[in-house]
Amino acid sequence: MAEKVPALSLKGIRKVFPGVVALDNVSIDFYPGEVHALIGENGAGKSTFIKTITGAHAPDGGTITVDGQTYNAMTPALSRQHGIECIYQEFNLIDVLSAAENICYGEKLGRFVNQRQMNEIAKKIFDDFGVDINPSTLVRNLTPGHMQIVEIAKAVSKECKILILDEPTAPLSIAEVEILFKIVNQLRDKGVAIIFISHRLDEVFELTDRVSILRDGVYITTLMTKDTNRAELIKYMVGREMTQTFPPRNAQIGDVALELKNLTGNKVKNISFKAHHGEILGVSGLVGAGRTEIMKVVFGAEKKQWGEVYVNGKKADIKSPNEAMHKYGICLIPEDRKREGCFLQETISWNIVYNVLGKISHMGVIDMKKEKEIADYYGKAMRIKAPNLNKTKVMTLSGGNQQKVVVGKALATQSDIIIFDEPTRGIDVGAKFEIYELMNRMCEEGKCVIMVTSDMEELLGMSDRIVVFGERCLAGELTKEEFSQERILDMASSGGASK
Amino acid sequence: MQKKKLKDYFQEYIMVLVLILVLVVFEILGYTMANRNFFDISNLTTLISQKAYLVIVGVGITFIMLGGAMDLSTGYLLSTVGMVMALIDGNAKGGGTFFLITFAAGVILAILLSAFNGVMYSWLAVFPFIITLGSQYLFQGATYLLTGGQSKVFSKLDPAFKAFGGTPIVSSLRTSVIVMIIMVAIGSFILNKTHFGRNVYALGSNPDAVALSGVSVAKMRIAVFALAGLFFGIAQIVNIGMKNGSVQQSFGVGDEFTVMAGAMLGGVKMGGGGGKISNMVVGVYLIGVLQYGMNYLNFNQYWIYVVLGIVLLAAISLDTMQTRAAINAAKKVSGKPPKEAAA
Repeated sequence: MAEKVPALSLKGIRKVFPGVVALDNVSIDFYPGEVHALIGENGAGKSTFIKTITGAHAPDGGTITVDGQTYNAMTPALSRQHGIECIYQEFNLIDVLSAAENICYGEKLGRFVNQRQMNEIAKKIFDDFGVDINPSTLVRNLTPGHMQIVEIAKAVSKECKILILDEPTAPLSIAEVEILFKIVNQLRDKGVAIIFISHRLDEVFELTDRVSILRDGVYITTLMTKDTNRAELIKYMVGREMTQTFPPRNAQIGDVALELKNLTGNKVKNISFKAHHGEILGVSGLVGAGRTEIMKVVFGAEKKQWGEVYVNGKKADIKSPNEAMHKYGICLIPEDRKREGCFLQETISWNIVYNVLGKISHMGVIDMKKEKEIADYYGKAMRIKAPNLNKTKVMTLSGGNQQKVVVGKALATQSDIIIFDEPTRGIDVGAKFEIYELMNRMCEEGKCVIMVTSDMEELLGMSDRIVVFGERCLAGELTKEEFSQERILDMASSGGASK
Repeated sequence: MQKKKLKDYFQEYIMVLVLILVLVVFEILGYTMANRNFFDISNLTTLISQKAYLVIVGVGITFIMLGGAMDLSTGYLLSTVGMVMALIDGNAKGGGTFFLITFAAGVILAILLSAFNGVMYSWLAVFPFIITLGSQYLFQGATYLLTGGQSKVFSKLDPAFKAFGGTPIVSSLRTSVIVMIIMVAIGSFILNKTHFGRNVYALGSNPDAVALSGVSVAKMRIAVFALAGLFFGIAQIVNIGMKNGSVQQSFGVGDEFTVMAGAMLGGVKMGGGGGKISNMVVGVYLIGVLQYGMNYLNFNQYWIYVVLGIVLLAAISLDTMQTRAAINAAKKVSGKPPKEAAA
């Protein structure tokens, strides 16, 4: 087997984004007729790696060899020419066209559109897969599982030699996963090289021949799947050095501030945990585990199906974000600050006071003096660096300063329970440290901080306690003494089977 | 850093400069082509009074645009409101409903019809272009049905109409200008000083963030359209007044485009996210001056359309180029490239 010629070979790939080394000296060979798993934590560099293969990113160093030809960088056209196809989590289909039309899209089948010929091509591929999809069904009427099969069929019809599947099982039901695996096995037998990315280690063992591990953009190792085990993989995936320092905190942990009992809604089921005054509760889990989703239910932005929320021991029936902020003192700093957190075209002051305008208005007319006081106070407290709070628009600020505006806007509501969703994503080290200090100050004031984060260092460094989300349910809880990267990752990647 | 640069001032007031420039051009052309003085007081006051009605419509349109929506149905809404007021009024037939009842009925109808647009928009959550395209036909048909079709003219309505919009104050300056000033002031006050006004900007800027702030996006949208309806109703009263208390179906039809074009020209962003009432006033008057001036100089009506089209496209191009330049500037990183290039 070692004598086989790799279908795709990457050597010494390096990719640098401003301020971050996303990939450093990554070398992996992919062989035809093999399913090769690529695993790593959130942010390990898997997506960047794939994008170098498909030509979406040009690497800053290293070479890519495919079909005996060596390149410094791929382009989307080049990668397609060499039969590299990638199926992303978000489908790349035209949903108003039929399955067959999507499969044949971009292919020259003659001068005019020939429905019958396209349907025959699609039918043949579906028959080979052993799936029953009507080729003339519009894609938007298909289930996610079938959409994915159409994607794979599209790749197959283009005679792909290297197929990349990015988290393919995430949107699928158990039955659909089985069909997918059957198809993947078929393609392997036909000699296609398959790169399989998954958070679910069980699937790695079920499906793959080889597994490569990335950590913080660094290539760790490649193992034969049959020679390794779950514990070993987790050991390789974590082993992260804790280089960052966190500001010390001197806070008294008090009574329970927020308690969830079997809270269910927004596709997340039976979440129960407690968070205390003066405490930072870390919320961990892989991307898509339902952390953000349940926080939106707590905040009243999404409907609750069942379960209860208690604020300071009293049952709270939170129906809207307005009630959450002004009646129960809960604020949420959303994950996607540009889309949900702030008004980019408006000024800093405008943003900071936005949530409290109701409180500083008389008969709907804003008290401009109070407005200025509040904006100045939080602008200073957040240490926002800008020429002029009243004139500088948020869109011109750096990511870190934008985040401070969003935090200031949330804090202006004087809430006691503060939910941070990815508090430091995309901001520089200095601004991160300031956000941490800010969180500490909140704790010292007796506020309850809930921190949803994908950053392992931040999670371990800042939390007093950690709850881990599995797949759309709670996977476990760890006290400070029990903190370990292995345990968190083990809980988080235990698959949808629990409960 | 706190001081505004000359460039910023230039950007902010460029349309005012253009307006002045156009006035000067007409003055020069007036002398050379027709030996007439365009800057004649009665000439200018006529111009200001005539276009005041459009500015009042513009206040409503500005609210809708700042809230991230658009309205194609305004013209026929105005037409419907005008005809209903004429029918209620009954002065021509010697009946004579008290003018306040007529006015109130017109304004309330305008609010309801516009709010209807808002309700449909909130409920269906599709782009308002489609909603208001539909209601445009709806209002048009309703008007024809009400009046029995064809181009029916109602004249000699209650003199209160004329008092409200068409009575001269000084020279050719009419009461329409006073109503306009009041409406612009009210609109600006609401936008700049009230909680509601903030939410209008917020709605156009980022509806997702509005929803996460606990404000009902649906209710806000309905409220914005309803408020716009208030201005539409008042505008049509002024318009009838300007026409000496007569009204016909065509009153208002097509004006939504003039006003929207003016607002965009002045700097109100289509799809929300920026602009002020004052921008709209300048823009609407710029179009008004072009129309009036070219008529004054006896230009062919068809050429007027061509010029207006060119002006509008030029303004949009300028705005787009500015936005692109800002985006590109924001993408740039400060500093210099490192001396060692990566291998």
